[in-house]
Amino acid sequence: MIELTGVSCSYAEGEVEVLRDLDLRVGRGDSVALIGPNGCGKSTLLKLLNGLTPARTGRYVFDGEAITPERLRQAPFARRFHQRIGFLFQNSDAQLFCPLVHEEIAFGPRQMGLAEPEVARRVADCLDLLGIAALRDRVPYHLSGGEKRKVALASVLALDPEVLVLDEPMTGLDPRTKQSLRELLVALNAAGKTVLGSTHDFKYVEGLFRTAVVLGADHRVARVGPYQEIIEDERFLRAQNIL
Amino acid sequence: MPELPGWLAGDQRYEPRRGRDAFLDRSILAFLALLARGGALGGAPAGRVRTDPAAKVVAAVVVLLLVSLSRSTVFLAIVGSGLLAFLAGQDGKLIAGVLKAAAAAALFTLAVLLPSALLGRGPAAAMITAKVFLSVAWVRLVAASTGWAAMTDAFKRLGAPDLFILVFDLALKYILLLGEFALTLLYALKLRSVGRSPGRTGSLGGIAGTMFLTSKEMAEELYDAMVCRGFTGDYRPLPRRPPGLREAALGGAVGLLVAAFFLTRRG
Repeated sequence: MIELTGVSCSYAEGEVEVLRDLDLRVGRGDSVALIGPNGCGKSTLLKLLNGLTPARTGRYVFDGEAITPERLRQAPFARRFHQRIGFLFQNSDAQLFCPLVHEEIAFGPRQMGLAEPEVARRVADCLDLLGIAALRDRVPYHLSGGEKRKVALASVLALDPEVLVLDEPMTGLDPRTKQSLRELLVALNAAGKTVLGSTHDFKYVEGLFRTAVVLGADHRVARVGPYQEIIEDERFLRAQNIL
Repeated sequence: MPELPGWLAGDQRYEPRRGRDAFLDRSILAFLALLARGGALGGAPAGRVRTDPAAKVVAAVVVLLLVSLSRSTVFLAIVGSGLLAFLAGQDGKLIAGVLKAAAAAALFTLAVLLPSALLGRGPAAAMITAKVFLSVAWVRLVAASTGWAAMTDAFKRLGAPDLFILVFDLALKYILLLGEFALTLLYALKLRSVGRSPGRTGSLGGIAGTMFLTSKEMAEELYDAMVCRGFTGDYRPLPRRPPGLREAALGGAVGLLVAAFFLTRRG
């Protein structure tokens, strides 16, 4: 589904590389945790996967198609690509831009040109799924951090993406919200969605990820392997400044 | 485990309609450029103009005043020569930045004045365009070669009110943070803009509204943080070194310009 080969990335020419010579394979239906110390390039990698940051060198292939700035300048291709890969930002404040919660969730389906009854059905389903039906007519900006995160996820799910990319999904949430979000993500993965997320919060993602990719402070992949095996390797995690 | 609705449980084949996202892409590029410029502003001062910031600000104000009052092309040529002499000692990046900003302002002025030039007021239009070019170039030169803190300090030493300095300081500090926030909002809009709908323009209004609320909240938080660290509304000047050779040279150059202004005025 996702193939990165020799990808390097820097924000400006001549500046320090935030990703170095990265190889990554993510299969359809996989669940992959991206782990690493602060500043190792996790968020940049997630942006790159969503086509927001171009690779300086290397190749990014999504479901057999090369993702390049040139391809993403072709509107039909970019729209199809963005529908297939959904991104939950770390800062939910920056992801919500509609005046009301139900309009926020309806934005994507309306963009897709779905009929209004179908849009309404998706909005209602997403509100129920995330337990935020009571927020339907609220202003997103005035919600709490956890509520904003749920609305942001609902707005992404309404597009029915095949791949879910999550930037620190558990950060700033209370324990009960973390638990329900974990269960939802497990259910989505079980339904065939590919889930890829960065996390520091190992306690609340138990059972969600099967594979872990560890990025080192040198911005290279330090290790790839079964999630459980890696998070149980305390010595390795301490050496990588993760524990 | 929650039960997923049928439409979410399987993959769907969505074929978007044709169309362009030029406006959104242009907005994102504009914000990236703004952030790049902001980064330069927030970093170490560019170039090799290491004169006292207050002296630079005073010199720039005097030059602006003389340029705007002068009606002599000879004087404008002298100021232009002075500008070139200053730029000659700078690095390429700063020269390009100064000339680009000045050329853009001059071109805009020329476009606005084109009708009057076509109606026979060509020399006046040319003079105004030259004045705009020189004024913008000098201001850009001072701005690009002076750091944030130094500029704030210069205003304080020149007697600007603390409220003015506070607003200036907050604006400089937040232009980057707000730019980044706006960019993330535009990215969020782009990622969910997977088709066409009339609501897209309204979403840009939503982004502007969120930006306004966020900027107000961030400014309040920053002010509270400053108060918590002992800020009482007064800016204190930074310790400064006594005026040296550079300041004397700058003072001499400004004195020569003032003399040139009066000499060319008589001529």
